[in-house]
Amino acid sequence: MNRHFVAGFLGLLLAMGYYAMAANIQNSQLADEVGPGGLPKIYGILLACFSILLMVRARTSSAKAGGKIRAASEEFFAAKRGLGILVIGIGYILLVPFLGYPLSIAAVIATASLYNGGHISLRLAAIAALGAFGLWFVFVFLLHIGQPAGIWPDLIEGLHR
Amino acid sequence: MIDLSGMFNALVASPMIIPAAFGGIAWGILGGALPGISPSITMALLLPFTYGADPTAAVVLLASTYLGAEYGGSIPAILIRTPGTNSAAATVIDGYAMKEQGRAGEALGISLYSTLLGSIFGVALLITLTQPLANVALAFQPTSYVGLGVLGLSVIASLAGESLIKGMMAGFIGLMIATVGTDPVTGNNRFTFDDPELLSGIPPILVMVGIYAVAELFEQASHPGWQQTNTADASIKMPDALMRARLRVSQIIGAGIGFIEGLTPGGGGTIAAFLSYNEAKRWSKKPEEFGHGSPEGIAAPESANGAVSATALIPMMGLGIPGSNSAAVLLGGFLIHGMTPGPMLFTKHYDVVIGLYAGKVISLFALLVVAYLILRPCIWLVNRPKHYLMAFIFALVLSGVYAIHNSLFHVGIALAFGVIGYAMKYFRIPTLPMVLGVVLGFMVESNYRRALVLSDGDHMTFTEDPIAATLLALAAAFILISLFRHFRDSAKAEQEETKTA
Repeated sequence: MNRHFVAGFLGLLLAMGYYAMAANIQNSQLADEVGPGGLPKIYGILLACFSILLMVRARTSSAKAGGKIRAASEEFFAAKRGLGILVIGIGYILLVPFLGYPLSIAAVIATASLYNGGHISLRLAAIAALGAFGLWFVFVFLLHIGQPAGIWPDLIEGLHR
Repeated sequence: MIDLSGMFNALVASPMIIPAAFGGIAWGILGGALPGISPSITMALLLPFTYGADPTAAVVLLASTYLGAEYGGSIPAILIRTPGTNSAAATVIDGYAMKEQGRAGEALGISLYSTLLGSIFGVALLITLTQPLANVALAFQPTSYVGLGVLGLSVIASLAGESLIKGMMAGFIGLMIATVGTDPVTGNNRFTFDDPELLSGIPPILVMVGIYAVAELFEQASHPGWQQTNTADASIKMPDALMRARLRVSQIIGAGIGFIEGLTPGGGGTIAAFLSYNEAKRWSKKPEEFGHGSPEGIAAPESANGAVSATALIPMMGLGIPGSNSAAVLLGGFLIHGMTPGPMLFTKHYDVVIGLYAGKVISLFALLVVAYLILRPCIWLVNRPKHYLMAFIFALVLSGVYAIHNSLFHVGIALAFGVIGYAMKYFRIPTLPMVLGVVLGFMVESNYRRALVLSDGDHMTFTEDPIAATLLALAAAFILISLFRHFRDSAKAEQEETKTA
């Protein structure tokens, strides 16, 4: 299977899922002739058609591109590495409500640096701390844009009591 | 007619325009100078910051960033043989050759001077052509908007790149994303998974930040660092009178091609730069110098880039159709502030439009000043370890996206679109058709259904409105021409393949 076939297959799955949901949209009494599900169903059908076309084209041309398929699989393994950044982002979303913005964003800078080829060092810690302070200064102090405070305000309030 | 007093009044009414123009140029040069960070990504990173800003200053900031990034891309192209942006790729050829001859300062000066001249030409055209275009569109009815939207979507055919099928798939995925939220006619919830945060749909800004900025960070994490160099002696040396005379023809060629490519959907800086390089070589008195450090080889593509950064805004502002990634991000900047680019922009938000013109003029001065001041910080930045830079940019994206609506859910959506954009890169599916679908989808659907309600479901209403009929005919012609070109190119490629086999 080459990447074009996989792209077509994924497109077809998306189209089918989307169409199924579009078909289940409730029609209200205010509905016009087209209705809330009218255009979405057409989009789903057209995406499915183009996905099938892509799969057919991929099958007919795959015989010519044997070498390219190996290159594509190597590229796939290299591409997987990029998704580590996604894991760091998800970690941030999960942690920031507890740790608060400055600590979490410093952790993002440190871990993303390490993941991109940096090494554990005092310099890394200093850059993470300075970066977090800089971002806090710009967003919270200068622009007055609130960022998650974490458990710290409640904790400090609890200690004062 | 250029409304000079209006521009002056806009500056008085919104003094933040001046710092926004300078700030945008500075940010753009820095972003453009970082290899891998394109003008659209540099602009997308700024989008969240513009949310709470004065609307005029916000769009000026984004438009100036576009110009700054187009120039910034030439700095690493000349100094380290790595184009900071795609459109600076043509500058590498002669820029780096001049650097190797010890003429880096001269090359940087030619690049700055040519970008500046190209953008002066582009800004003049932007100011004179956009409003007449929008005036035509003032007579628009719901049917005409459908025609306009379909014309915009027909652009997908020319943006599809190597595969028309993939371009169409991306366009339909964009249209699907635009259907998330409350139905424009009945108020029914669609594809919201009972989540109240999805009721108002998926903001285009999250799609853009995700597929441009986040996907690029994923991409950078899977590649090694960029080349570094010792360029401590580099400084800008502006061309003297003799050199300016020599560059004139190549700059006219570059600015002219830049103007046409800026107006053409899917044209953009890269095509304009290479086309003008080629034409400048053809018209040059010293074509043999091209590739070996010809000043004209820098002047032509850089003037084209300068012109594109202004003329790409003409169809975006006049008709609401973004023809390039950067124009799409700027359109996102308008949308964030509740302004819809297109004909009504000039009647509802004329103050912002005239402020943007004033800002574009200020940004020309800003480019000249900031380019000198920022060169050393720029070289310093390019020489920083890539892992620190990428980590900081990622932290900036996470913070910025949260700041838009104080929502971690939105941070998750931007990350999800990062994955989608990254997957699209892997599968070689173009992203701009998807952005077009997201931006135009709601307009097309809501006006299509409104038009049908008004005409009791009669589809002939679209042919009875002369504007809609003309736009739909243009869209059909556009698609047919693109299809013809696509099949002709495919047939040619197949013929060549069989010949080599």
